[in-house]
Amino acid sequence: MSRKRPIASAKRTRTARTFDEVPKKSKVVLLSCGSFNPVTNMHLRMFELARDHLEDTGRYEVVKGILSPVGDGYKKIGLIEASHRVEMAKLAVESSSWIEVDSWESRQADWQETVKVLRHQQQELLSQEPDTDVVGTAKPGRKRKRMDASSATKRRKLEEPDIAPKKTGNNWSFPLHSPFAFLLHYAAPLDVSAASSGEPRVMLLCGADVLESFGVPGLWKPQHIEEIASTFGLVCITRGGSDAEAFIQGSDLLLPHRSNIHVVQEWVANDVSATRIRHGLRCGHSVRYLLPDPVLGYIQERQLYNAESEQRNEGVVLAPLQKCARTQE
Amino acid sequence: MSRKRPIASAKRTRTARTFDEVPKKSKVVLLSCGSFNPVTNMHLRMFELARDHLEDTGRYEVVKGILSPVGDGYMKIGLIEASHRVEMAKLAVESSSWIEVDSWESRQADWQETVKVLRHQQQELLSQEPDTDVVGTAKPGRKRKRMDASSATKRRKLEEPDIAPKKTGEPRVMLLCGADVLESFGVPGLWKPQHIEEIASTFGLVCITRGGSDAEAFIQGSDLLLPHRSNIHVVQEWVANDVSATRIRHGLRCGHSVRYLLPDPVLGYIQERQLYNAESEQRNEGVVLAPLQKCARTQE
Repeated sequence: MSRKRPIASAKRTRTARTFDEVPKKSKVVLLSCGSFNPVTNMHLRMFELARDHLEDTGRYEVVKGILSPVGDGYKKIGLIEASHRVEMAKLAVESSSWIEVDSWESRQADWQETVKVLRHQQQELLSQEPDTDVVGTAKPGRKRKRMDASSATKRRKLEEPDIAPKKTGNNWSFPLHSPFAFLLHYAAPLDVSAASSGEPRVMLLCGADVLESFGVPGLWKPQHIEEIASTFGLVCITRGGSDAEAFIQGSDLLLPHRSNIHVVQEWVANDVSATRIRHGLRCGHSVRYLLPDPVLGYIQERQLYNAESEQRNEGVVLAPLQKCARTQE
Repeated sequence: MSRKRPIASAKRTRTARTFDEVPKKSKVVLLSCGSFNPVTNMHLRMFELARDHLEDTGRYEVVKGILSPVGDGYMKIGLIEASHRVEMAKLAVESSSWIEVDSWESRQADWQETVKVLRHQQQELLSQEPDTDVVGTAKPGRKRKRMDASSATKRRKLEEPDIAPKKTGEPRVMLLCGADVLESFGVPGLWKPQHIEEIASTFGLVCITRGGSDAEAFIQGSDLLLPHRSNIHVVQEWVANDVSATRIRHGLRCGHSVRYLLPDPVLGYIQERQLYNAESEQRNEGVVLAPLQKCARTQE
């Protein structure tokens, strides 16, 4: 379904090849899995960076961000109870209009492989009404605040009066088995799932360290890496960028899905690791302004982190490594 | 004034040489001068790091932190009106029980040399009632929140029942700055040598740095600073927090998110007024920075 558009509005969609074609934007939900022990400003920044990056391409609309704290079954050393970590995460995003917390993973008795969390989230989205502007766009009862306006929205406001991106027919869909598919792989990225039907796709939001952990023996199943990279996609926040790129280039599993992996460079070094925050808390040092005030208040009221909590799970094998060992038996 | 103390409490004051000596703690007010264009989480972190560092020595009690935004007369490129910068700074520290904003410097018609701001602040403290525990300890009407409890306070709670440090008289003002400011002492024409001397000797500096070694090397190589080495505290950041106001302004111009890099109330203020844009970044373009103007005039 093509339509003629006036020249003046051509700049609004950067990937338009001619004025008759308007590429459809894919709706994306960013899923961040982690310990969040505790959640920090860095975790929150990752969402903001990822959204700006994806929307800057003109091909995506990020409709929701989800923090999914890992369950206690992960058995990581120093990991405090999931109930606290979920509560802190909720406090952290209380004032955000687009980021929320999903506690499903944290409530499972056994540790859940990341791909299962992705599948679960995708299922949840599919079970919602398709092709509605309201889906996942705003948390219930909360209007999208100006503070959370995406960069794309702000730029539209600067360039033109507020006009929502139109949904048009997609002239760009080639079946994956088509001999021309490989050309489109470079000319214009294909959305490999759910694009034409309108429901959002879930993408894994992570740091470069997670990406590089794909190379740690026994930590990830190869078929899971394949599924994450092909079916879902990754948005990977990195400091330098070159290490992540080199890793992808050197990975037989990842390279075929290069266009589905978005490497995003931080433009402000923000090295706020939860490990260092816990260390600071144990030493009685201030961690204020490294994490949201409500989270800090929660921690202090309950004296959550100390030498004892840091020893939890000491000597216990990390769940993914346990799982791998059992598989090999 | 010495007194005998039981052995068990010796650990409380780390610098005690014998059990008969109780070193007095100096009360300190940290003063941070800057553009705060806008104020960021990094500016706020500097206060927290400085306080922890000083109190960890066991020799100091940090009673107050002051942000002093520079006046418009500074003529720095991209510097927006002082009224906005002061307001944003106030929003940033609204929820802090020990950091506050002083707008005196920002209200002066001409740019004020840093040493004058230090002298002004010290005068203000001297004019308050001396030798009172209440002086500068808490912002009026605001109880010190647990969130702002200093590391020393937290450790005392862990080790012993609360014992107030000895009164030592009025607080001294120390300049809180980044390593870049310290190293700017070497830029010709930017600082008067006698001012550097006065800052280092009369007041003292707390200098927050990433690596530490550059700052140390600079001090070692400075005839003005080296004699006052003990009055300069080099504090290493243990979390890299490179949130510069310049990059934040750049992000805002590009329409990129700067959320979680600065306090939400400050971000809200900026967005409501569309404070930063390509035009604001060109303010004072072509104008010579005030300190350099002043130096040039002095040499005429």
